[in-house]
Amino acid sequence: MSEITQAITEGGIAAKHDAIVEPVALVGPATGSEHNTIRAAIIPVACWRVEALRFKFDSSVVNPDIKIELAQLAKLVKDHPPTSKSNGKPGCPLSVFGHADPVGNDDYNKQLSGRRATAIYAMLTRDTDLWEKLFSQPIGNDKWGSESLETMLDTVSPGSAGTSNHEQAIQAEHNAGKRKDLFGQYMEKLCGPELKLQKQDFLGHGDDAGGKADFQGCSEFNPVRIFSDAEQKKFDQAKDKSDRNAENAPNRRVMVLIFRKGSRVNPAKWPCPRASEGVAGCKKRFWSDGEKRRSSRLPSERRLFEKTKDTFACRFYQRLTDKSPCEKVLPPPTPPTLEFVFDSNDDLKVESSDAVTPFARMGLWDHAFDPTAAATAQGSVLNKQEEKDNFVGADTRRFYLRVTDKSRNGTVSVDWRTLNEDGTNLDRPADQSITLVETAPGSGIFASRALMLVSDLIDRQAETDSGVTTGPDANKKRKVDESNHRIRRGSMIGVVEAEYRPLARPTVTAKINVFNRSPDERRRLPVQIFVLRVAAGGAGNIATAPGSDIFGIDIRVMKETYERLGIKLETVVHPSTPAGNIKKFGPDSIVEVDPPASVANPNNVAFADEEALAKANPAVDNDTLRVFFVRRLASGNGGEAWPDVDFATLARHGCAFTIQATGPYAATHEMGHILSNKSNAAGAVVPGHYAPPAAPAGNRLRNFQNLMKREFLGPESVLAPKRLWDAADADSVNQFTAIRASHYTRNF
Amino acid sequence: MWRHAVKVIVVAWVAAPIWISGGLTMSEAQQISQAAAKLRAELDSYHASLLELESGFKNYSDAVKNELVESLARVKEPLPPGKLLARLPFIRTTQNEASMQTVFINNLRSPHTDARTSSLYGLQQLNHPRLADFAEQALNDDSDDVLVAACSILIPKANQDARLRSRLQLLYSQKKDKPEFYTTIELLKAHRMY
Repeated sequence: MSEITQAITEGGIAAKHDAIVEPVALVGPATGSEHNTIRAAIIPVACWRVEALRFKFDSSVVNPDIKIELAQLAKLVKDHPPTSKSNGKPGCPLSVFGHADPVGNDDYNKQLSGRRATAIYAMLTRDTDLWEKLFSQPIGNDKWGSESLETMLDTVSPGSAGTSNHEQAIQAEHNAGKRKDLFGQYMEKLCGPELKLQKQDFLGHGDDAGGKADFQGCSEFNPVRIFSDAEQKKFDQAKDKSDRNAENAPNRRVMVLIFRKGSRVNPAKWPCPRASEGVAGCKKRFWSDGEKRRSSRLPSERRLFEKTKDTFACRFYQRLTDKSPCEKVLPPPTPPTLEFVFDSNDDLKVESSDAVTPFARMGLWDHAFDPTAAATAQGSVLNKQEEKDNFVGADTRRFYLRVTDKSRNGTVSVDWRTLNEDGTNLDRPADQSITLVETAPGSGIFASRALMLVSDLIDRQAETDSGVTTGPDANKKRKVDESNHRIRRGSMIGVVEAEYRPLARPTVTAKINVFNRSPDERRRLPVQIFVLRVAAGGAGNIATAPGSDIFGIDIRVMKETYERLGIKLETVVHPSTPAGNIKKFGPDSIVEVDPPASVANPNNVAFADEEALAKANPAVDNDTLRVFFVRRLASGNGGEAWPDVDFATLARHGCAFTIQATGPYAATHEMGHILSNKSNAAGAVVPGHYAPPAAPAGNRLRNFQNLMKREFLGPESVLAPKRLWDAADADSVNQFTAIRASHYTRNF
Repeated sequence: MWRHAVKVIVVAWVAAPIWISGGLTMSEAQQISQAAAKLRAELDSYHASLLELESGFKNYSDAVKNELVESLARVKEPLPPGKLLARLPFIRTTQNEASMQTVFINNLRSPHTDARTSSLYGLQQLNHPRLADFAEQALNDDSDDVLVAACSILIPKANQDARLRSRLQLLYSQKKDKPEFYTTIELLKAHRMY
C-alpha cells in the first residue's frame, strides 16, 4: 500500500478525503406492502486534480509532463482499487470532471471542459477511438493537428525527434491507422502499465455510450477563484491577456473523484449531462442563486471557494467536493529560473550548489587535444561523450546552463545564442537548443553539459558531442545549426543570452557578459602595423588594399587569438603619419612605410635595417607594440620579435618583424614574444618559446597547438597552433597572465 | 698496406694522439666535428635565437664555423635548406668565405626556392664578383622570391646598363598580369623598369 494522504506537485494534487461519518438511519418495521428506501449517498474518498499547465493552452491535448501527476493517481488507485483490480469484488469507482475558466461563453467552455475530461478518461482506459474523435472533430482553438502528433512522437520515439518525427507527424495527420497506434503508445507511455483502467472501473460502469457518470465537463460553472472587481477591470483593459490567463489557471482543471467501494450509479439518473452535451442539464442542478455564486465580485478582494464555499454554481458538484482537499487554489508555483553557472568544484558536472556566474570567458581549448600524440604531432580534438575527454567538457573556460522548474521532469530544452555589443545577433544558429537533464529524479533541477564560446569561425565549425545519453541527440556528434551543438562564436564586448520556455508560463531569459565587467577584466591592446614598401614611393611588399589578406587574415587572426584572453586588439596610427600612407579597412588602419636610406635591400631585411625601421617609425608611446610586415628577413627566420626582457636598449624593442608568407599565425606569434616577454637567453627549456610542462601526467597542455611553439605554425585549422594556455609552461611562464599583464596592454 | 695502417693507428692511439691535417689531434677533430653538427642544428632550426644570431654564434670557435662551411661545400647531398643558407653569413670568417661562396653557388640550382633565394642574397652579402651574372641567370626562375632577390640585385646596375634595363623591362612585361609575382612586379614598377 502506498498510503498516499496528500501529494502536491506543480501540476496537481492527489489526496484522500477525510472519512465521513454517515448518519445513522433508524428503521422501524413496516406493515403490509409499504417499505422505506434508503439510498446510500455517493461519497468520494479520494481526489486527483490536474492543472491546466498539463494541457496545451485552450486545448484538450495532454502534455507529456502529466506523467508526474499520473504517477500520483496510480498510487491513489492502488490504495483504492477499482473493480478490475479487486479480484472480482466491488471496487472504488472513478469519475472525471473537467472545468474551464470564466473567459468565453458557457457553451464553448462546456465543450472544452468536456473534451479535457474525455481526454483524461480515454487515456486511463486506453480508448484511442475517443482521442480520434477529439482529433478529427476540433472545436474553436482545440485543434490537435500535426503539432500534437509530433509531441506524442517525440515522447514515444525521442530518438527520431526533429525532422524524422516532424515528417511522421504530418503523415499521421492524414492516416487514422497511424494515429491510433500513436495514441495508444502515448497513453501507455504516460500512464504506465500500473495505471490502466477498464470502463467498469468508472462510476457509470461504462454503461452509457456517451460516458454519462464516467466523465463530464462542468464548463465554467465551478470556479475556485473569482477575481475582484478592480482586478477584473484591470484585466479587461489590458491588451495582453497572459496575466489574466495565468491568474485564471486554477479554474481550468480536471478532477477525478474516487468513490467509496461498491458505489455505482444508474447513468440514466445521473444529473450531469454528457461531456458532449450542452449546458441545460447543468443549469438544472444550479443553486437557486447559482449565477450569483459563480459571477459576483467583491470590490477589491478575490473570492475563493476554499474559504467561503460559495463560488460553485452547481449544487450537485459542490455536494461531492465540498470537503475535497483538491478543490483549492494551489500555492503559486515557484517561477522557473534559468541561470548560467560555473562548475565550482570542477567535477565536470553541475549541481544545485554550483555558483551562478555573471560572465563567461572564451574557451581556451586547453584540454582539447589528444595527450597521447607526440608533442610534435598534430594530434586530434578530444570529442568523446564523457566530459573529461571532451574538448568542451574539460575546458577551463566552460560554463553551463541550469533550469529550476518543479513542473517538469526528465529533460528540458533551452535556446542559447550570442549577441553583439549593440544587441544584434552575433551567433544565432538555425537550431539553438541545448538539452538540460534533470540532476536527480524529481528534483526539478536541470543542467546542461558544458558549453563554450569561441572567437573564430573555424573553431565554431567544430562538431561537438551532444553530451547527452537520452533523447534524439544521444551519443551523437552535432554540427553548427543542429540541436545540442555546444559552442557559439562570442564577442568579448558582447553577451550570451539563453531562453527557456516553460509550460503555460512566460518565457524566462538570462543574459551574461563575455568576460567579467565588474571589475572589468578585459584589456585593450593598441598595435601599430606597418608594411614596408618594396622601394621608396613604391607599393607595399604585400597587398594593402581594403579586403586584402593583411586585413582579412593577419589582423583578423591577431584579434581572434588575443580575444580568447580577453584582450581587444585595436590598430592605431601615430598622429604624425602622412594621410597618404594610411590604408584603412573597416575599423583597422595600417601604414605603408618607405625603407630608410640606410637599408641596403628592403626585400631582405637585416637586424640593422630593423633598427633603422624602428627609429624611422616611432611608437605612439612606450606602451604601444609595433608590427612590421617585411618581404624577407636576412636571419632566415619567418618572423622575429624583440621583447623588452632581452633587448630593452635597442630602438626595436617592442617591435615584431614578420613575413606574411610564413603563415596566418606568424604575426600573432611574434606579437606573443613581445607580450609574454619571455627571455631568449640560454638556460630556458625553450628560450622565448613554449615548452609543455612535464606534469601533471598525461597533461594536455600540448606544444603542437600552442601559438608560441618554436616550429612551423602551418595553415588555419582547429588543430593549428593558435592557443595560449592559462598554466605554467616548463619554464614556469604562464602565457595567460604574462600576456594580460604586459605593459603593452591597458585597461579597457 | 691497409692492414699495416690499421696496426700503426692502433699502436699510435695507445701511445700518443694521432696528428691529422691542420695540426689537430683526432679527439680535437672529433670535438670540432661534433660542435659543427651542433652549430648546424642551430642554424637549421625553424627559428634561430636572435641573441645567438646577433652575437655571430660567439660560443663557437672559428674552427667550428669553418668546419661547418667546408663540410657544406664538400658534401653535395643532401642539399642544405634555405634557412641554413640564409644564416651562413652570421658565421662568416676570413677563412671560410671562399667555401661559403661555393656553397651558395652550388645552391643556386637547388630545387628549394628558399635555398636559391638565400644563395643569391648570400652572394650579395659576400660581394661575389659574378653576382650580377648569377642574378641575371635567376631572372628565368619561376619563383617570386627568387625574382625579387635577382631584381633587387640588378636594379642598381640597370640604371647604368641599357641591356640589363631592357632585360628587366622584358621581365616586367612577362609577369605584369600574374598576381603570383606581385612583389616582383611592384619592385620593377617602383624603379620604373617597365
